[in-house]
Amino acid sequence: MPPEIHFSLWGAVLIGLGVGYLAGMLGVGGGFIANPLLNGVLGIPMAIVSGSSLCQISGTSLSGLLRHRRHGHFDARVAVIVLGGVFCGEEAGVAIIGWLKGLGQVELAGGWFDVSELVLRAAFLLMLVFIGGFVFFESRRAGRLAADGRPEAPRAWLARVKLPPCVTPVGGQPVSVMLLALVGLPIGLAQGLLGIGGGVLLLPMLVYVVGVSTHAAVGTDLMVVFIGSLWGTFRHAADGNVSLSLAAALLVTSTFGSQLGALTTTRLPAHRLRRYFSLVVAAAALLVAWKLAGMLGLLPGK
Amino acid sequence: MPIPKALYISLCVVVPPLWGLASYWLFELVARRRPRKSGGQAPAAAPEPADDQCDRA
Repeated sequence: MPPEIHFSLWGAVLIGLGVGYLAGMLGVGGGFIANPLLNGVLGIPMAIVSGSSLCQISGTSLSGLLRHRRHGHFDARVAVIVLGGVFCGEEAGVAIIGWLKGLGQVELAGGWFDVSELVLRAAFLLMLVFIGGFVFFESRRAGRLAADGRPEAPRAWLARVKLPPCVTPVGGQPVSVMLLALVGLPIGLAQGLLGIGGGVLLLPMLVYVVGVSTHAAVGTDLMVVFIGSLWGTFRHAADGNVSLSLAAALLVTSTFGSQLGALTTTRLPAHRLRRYFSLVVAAAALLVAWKLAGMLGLLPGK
Repeated sequence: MPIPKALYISLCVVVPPLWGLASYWLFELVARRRPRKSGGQAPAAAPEPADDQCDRA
């Protein structure tokens, strides 16, 4: 059954527009920034946020995917192989979240907290800090190389392991199919656990681990995000976690933002695209940290 | 009146991709009409950013 929730429509519209723009430009679903905003600013419960956000992401990512595919920023073979791991990871994530919910509440810093809420926010924060930091420092290095006129060193770490059968990603070296499927596991885990599309993790993995060119990686991860989020929406809808009104508000506004964002991608150099990506991740990390600190009573005046 | 669960799940799974598809076509239509209005030819494809060529090399 659809959940009964009340939220600010204008707040959802603004969040949808902003998140859609970033999603189209950076090749991510946008759940990693939308979820903290919807939960922290609009006060919508995390379970509803996860379901509705995945529902919106499935529409936005398809729109962005089609545009990137038209520009040739796409590697279908890599996307299909990665999706094998995504489905396994997603099932594991859903099972873990059920186990965490069963643990109930725990006493911490003089108050009682929901174990699943606490663990998921901490996991969200750790993931954002790691990804944001990694991409930021790497993009700075790539920017320096570009300024000096030197080519970027090949990065495909996965290509160093020769385990047949192999496929050759766009702009990369041959990589093992089995290892490529394993890349999808953490993405699926993030979808099942945190209710995000997983592009925030997949984009750097495609570039640094698999060795796909940055612009092809953007379209490829949109395909993985689209199919993964569609499956996630089905799972959440079966549990009644999708608010149709919230998903519709986010969907309509974010789609327009996504189209504008995808146009921006083609005009930006790759290293600058990755730097903007890391700054957006850092902003999301700050928001989650603020929310977690407020929950534990660590903020002044609380 | 509460909506049936099957309809609710179908709406959640089918409507967003349809919307994504429709919006893509809409934006494509607008983008194709824009050069005709000005009377000129469609603009040439933008060159790849320099460092992406390094990516592909």
